[in-house]
Amino acid sequence: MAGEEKGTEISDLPYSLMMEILSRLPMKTLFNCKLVCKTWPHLISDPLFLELQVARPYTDIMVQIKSRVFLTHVEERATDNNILEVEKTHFDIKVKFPGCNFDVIGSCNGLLCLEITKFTGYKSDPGYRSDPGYKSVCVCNPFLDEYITIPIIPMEERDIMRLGFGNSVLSKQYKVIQLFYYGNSHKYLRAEIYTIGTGRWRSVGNAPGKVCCLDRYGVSSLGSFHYALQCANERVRGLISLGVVEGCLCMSISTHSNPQEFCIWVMKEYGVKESWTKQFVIENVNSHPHFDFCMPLIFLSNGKILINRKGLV
Amino acid sequence: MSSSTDSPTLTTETTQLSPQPDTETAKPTKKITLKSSDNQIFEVEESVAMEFATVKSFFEDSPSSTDIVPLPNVTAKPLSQVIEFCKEQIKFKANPDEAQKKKYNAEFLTEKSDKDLVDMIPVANYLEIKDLLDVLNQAVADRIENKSVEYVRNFFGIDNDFTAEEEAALRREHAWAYEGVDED
Repeated sequence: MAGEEKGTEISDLPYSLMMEILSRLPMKTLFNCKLVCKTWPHLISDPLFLELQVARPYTDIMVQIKSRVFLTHVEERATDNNILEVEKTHFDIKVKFPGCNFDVIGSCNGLLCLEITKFTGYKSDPGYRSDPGYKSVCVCNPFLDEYITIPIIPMEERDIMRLGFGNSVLSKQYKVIQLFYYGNSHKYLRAEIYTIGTGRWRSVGNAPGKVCCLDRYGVSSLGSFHYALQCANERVRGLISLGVVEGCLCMSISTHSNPQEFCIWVMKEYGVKESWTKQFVIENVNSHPHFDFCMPLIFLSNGKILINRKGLV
Repeated sequence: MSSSTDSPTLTTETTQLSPQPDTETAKPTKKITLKSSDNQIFEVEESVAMEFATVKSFFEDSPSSTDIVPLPNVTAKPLSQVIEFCKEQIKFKANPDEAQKKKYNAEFLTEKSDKDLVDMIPVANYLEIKDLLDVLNQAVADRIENKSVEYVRNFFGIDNDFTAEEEAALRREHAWAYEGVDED
C-alpha cells in the first residue's frame, strides 16, 4: 500500500465503518476475519456489530440435525432451482456439555437457546435416566463461543411444558419464557420470564385459556411473547405454529379437516388483529399425521418461501 | 488487480466538469473549488459539491465564503473518482432510472481496482456521502467474501499482529472456516 500519499488509510477508519463492511459478510468469512489482526475480533464481538448484522438481509441460518448444529448459508441463484447452499460447518455444542442432551428451543439474532438435560450415567448403564433436576437453559453465541447458563429450579408441583426464546425490540434484551402447569390437576398454566442480565425468573401470572398443547416455537421477537394459545382462543382447530418473518408475526395452520394443506397467515400490522392476512395456502404437503409443522423462514425474492420442517431451527 | 496508471491530470478533470447537453447548462452554474491534501485543485459544480455533506455544512456555516475548500484528509485520486461518481448520481436524481443507476454503479465499481475501492472509503466517509459509502462497503465486502485470511490482510493493507503461536491456536479452533476458501 502506498505510503507517500497523505490521505486517510483504511486502517485509520473508525471502528464503526469497518464494522459496516464486515457486517455484510457471511458467517464463514467472519470466522476468517477474526484472524486478520488483533482488533478485528473485538469489532466482530461488539454489540453494535450484532445490531448491524441483524439489520442485514437474512442469509445465514442455523440448522439442528440430531445433536449437531450446522451453519447454513442461503444463497439465491437465479438460474438454479436449488437455492440452498449447504456448507458443512458445524458447531460442536456437545463438547461443551459432556453427558448432556440438548434441544434447541429457539434462535434469535444468531444466538441459540438450548435446553440442556443432564443424564446421570451413560446411556448404556442400566440405571440411566434423564434427571429432571439437571435441566437448565443455555443461551449461547456459538460464533463467539460464549455461553450463559440459566438454571431451572425443579419443583414438584410444576410441570414444564414449553420454553421459548426471544428478543425484545424495545429493550433489546433477550428473554426466555417458560410455560408450565401449576397445581395438582394441572389446573393453571403459568408463565415465567427470565430476562438475561437480571439473573432471575419473573412470574407473569396465569396464562389465559385452556390449552392442550403448546407450541415450542411460540415465541416472537417483536417485543412480547406470543404463544399458540392466543390462536386457540380464536377457535382454530389444528396445528398452529408461530414465527416471525420479515418483521411480521406469522402463523401457519394446518387443519385437521385437510392435513394435506396448510395456510400461512401474516399479521401485517403488529398488534392489529384485523391485519391478519392469509398470505399463502400450500397444498399437497406430504404431512406427517402428528407433529409436522411448517414455518416460513424467509421469503425469497422470486416468491418462493423457505420453510422450516420438523427438526430444523 | 491493475496498478494505478490512470491518475487524472488537472486539465482532464476540469474539462470533464462541464457535462453537456442539458438545457440547464444555459444557466450559469456556481462552481466550488476543492483542494486535496496533495494540493490539487478541483473545480466542481455547486450541485455536485452539495452531495458532500461535509462541504455542504461548510457553506451552511459560512454562506458567503468564496474560499477554496481545503480537504486535508483527501488525496487527489480517490477524490476525482468520488466526484465522478457523484456527478452521475446527480443525473439520476434529475431523471430517476433505477435500472440505469444500478448498471452505472456496478460498472463504476467493477472497473476499480481493490486499492481504488479501499482508498475511496475514507474519502466517502470524510465527505459524508452516504450512498457512495454504502455502495463501496458492499463492493468491498463482496470482494473479500470467502477469501483467505492472508488475502483479506493484503486487501486492506493490514499487518498481522498475531504471533505464529496465537495464529496457529486460533486456526485450530475453527479449522472448518479455513477450508474451501477461494483460490486467491
